[in-house]
Amino acid sequence: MISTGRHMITRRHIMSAISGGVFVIAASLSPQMATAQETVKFGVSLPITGDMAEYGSFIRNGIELAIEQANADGGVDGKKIELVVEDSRSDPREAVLVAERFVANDEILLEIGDFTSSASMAAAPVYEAAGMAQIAPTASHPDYSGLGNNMVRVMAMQQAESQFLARWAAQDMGKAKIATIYVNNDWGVQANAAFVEEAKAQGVEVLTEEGITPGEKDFAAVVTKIKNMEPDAVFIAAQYAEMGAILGQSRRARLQTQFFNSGAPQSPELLELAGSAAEGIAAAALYFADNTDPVSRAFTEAYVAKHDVKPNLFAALGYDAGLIAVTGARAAGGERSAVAPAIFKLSGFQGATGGFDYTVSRDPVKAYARTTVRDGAWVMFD
Amino acid sequence: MPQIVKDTLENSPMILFLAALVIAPFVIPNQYIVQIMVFIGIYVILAQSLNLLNGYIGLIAIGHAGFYGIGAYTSAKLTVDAGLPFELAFLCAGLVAGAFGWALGRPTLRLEGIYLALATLGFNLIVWLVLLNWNSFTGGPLGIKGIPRPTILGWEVDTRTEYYFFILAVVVTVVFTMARLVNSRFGRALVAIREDQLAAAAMGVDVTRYKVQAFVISAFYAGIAGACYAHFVRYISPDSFTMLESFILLAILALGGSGNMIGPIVGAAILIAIPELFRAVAEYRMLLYGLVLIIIMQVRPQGLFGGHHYNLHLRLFDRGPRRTYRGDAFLPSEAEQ
Repeated sequence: MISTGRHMITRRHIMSAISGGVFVIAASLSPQMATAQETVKFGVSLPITGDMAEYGSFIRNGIELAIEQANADGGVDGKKIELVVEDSRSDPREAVLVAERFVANDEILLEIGDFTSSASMAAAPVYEAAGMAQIAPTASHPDYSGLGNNMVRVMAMQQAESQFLARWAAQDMGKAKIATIYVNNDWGVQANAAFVEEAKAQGVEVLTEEGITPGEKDFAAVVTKIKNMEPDAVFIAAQYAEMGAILGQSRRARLQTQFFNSGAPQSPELLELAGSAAEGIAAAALYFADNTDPVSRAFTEAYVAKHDVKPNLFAALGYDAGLIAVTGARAAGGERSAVAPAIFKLSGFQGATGGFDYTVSRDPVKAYARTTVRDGAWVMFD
Repeated sequence: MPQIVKDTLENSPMILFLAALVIAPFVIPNQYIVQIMVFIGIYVILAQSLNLLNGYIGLIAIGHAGFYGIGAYTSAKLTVDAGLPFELAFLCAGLVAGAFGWALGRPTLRLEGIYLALATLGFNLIVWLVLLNWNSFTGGPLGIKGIPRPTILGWEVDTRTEYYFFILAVVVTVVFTMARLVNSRFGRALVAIREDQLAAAAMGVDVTRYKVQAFVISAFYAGIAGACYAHFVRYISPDSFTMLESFILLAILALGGSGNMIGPIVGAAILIAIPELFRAVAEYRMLLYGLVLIIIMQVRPQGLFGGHHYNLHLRLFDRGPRRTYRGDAFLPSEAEQ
């Protein structure tokens, strides 16, 4: 009897699970109800689940802030902007499906995302075929903006940041022997290549270039090797997770040198992870929480008021992508294919990550601030 | 009743199903759904390929995304850099993956169970790392862009719907050839090895030779699937060929059931469609995805279509005497049910 009873409960549970599933399926399959014409919809394709979900949520917060402000400021032609956020896990295959979903939905005017260049580039042909603007907040692949007429880049090209750091090291600090470490992904490879090229042009001897696999945690071998080469400075292209680990392990290996970082400037997480090992590192910041630039400061204040934490570069880029999307939507008159051309006419754009002109180049050229860590906080370098 | 009519009747569910697939893109003119179906098609090919190893010969291979990646990169490199016509590159994708299958299979197929599983896992990892680090050849993390659309004897596969038909044709070919293969003497030898390697060897089955052959054939089909993916998405990077893909394939077999032709098809359809169906619940969708897997594994541990009751009997093409052979009739799990 007992076992029968348990069996029935199991079955009932299964039935309710199935009916729950059916409900969800029905909900997702039913055509989006035409919610009158008072809204304009922006598609957002970001990693909401999976390994990259963290970055996706920063970018999403930034976009949402920009859209809230735009809605308070009259929306688009008096219509409220609504975000349709879809999870891509930054998997190229899923990003393509999300793209197809957005394109098939007539109410969606433009798209913001994805996070990785791989996912953005896999989805690009779908957006291009539909004439829908694809505004990628973080795509740094050199070929991304050239994939079509609707691919909008928000991030500054990686080359510029790396060159800035290389000149800083060689010209201003007089470093002559530099070792580099980079995360082996599309972004890291370019960050490193551009740094090495500029450093060599400045007469710097590049001792070694060490690629590390994304997600790796033990860098003892790399750190020891570099320590034995006695470099004047070490350039590290890595996000805060790897950067924090490298700094901590360098401290333990007593590798004392000037560290340059690309990829984690201004990140509070780096300070937490590396602790005092982060003191004195040099980084070029596109977005800087204590920046006095009015747009940047307004963004920081609004973000802190809403989320109670200081934003990072990803949130700032998401915010800028949101601003660009709104500008494009306002100029496009509800016409999908008019969004990207309108964006590319934009000059004198001011965002949280600095100002630039799309009329000069479709790959934004932005100014960098010199920053460092002192007493456990990011401050201007002097 | 003439034999041909009898055979047609017996195969009618399959014929009807195929007919439904052919008219599907016209009935559902939603590009998004067509796109999902294309991906399902690609995973059906992959699952069928893995099924030959995990289901029929009982080898535990868990690094199938390695062959998938090799196929994708081969076809992409050959069309983008060498300018080879698509048809040739497509075939080469299978052949190169098959060659790697042979190179991996020869030394590792002496291993059993978990050891072979680890070797194939290692293979997947190596392929991924090579794709990621061999910057000059594979483009490293930047991947390969601008992969051309397939052109088959002058027919440019341009739209989503056209690609759907292309994939459908490939899937039908793969399923058909697989069904013929596993119902042949070769297939029976594989099952014999799975059931009892010693007994099979005693009956004169050359165990190592059959294992290597099955491995090569399986890798060939996985390579073909890779080419299908590369020319469909038209931009590939190592991200798409990680171990996660291999695990998805294993989950497809576990969920759909292996050791027959229907299970992998059903498994692929469900596992690719579920994350899309659950989009309404946003950040909880992968949670639901896991939940569905757990429920199905609880209710049907052998997979939805586990066992050999679900084989494809292609009577229309099978002129020999009717076979009553059931592949896993001797499995203890079957006896318990």
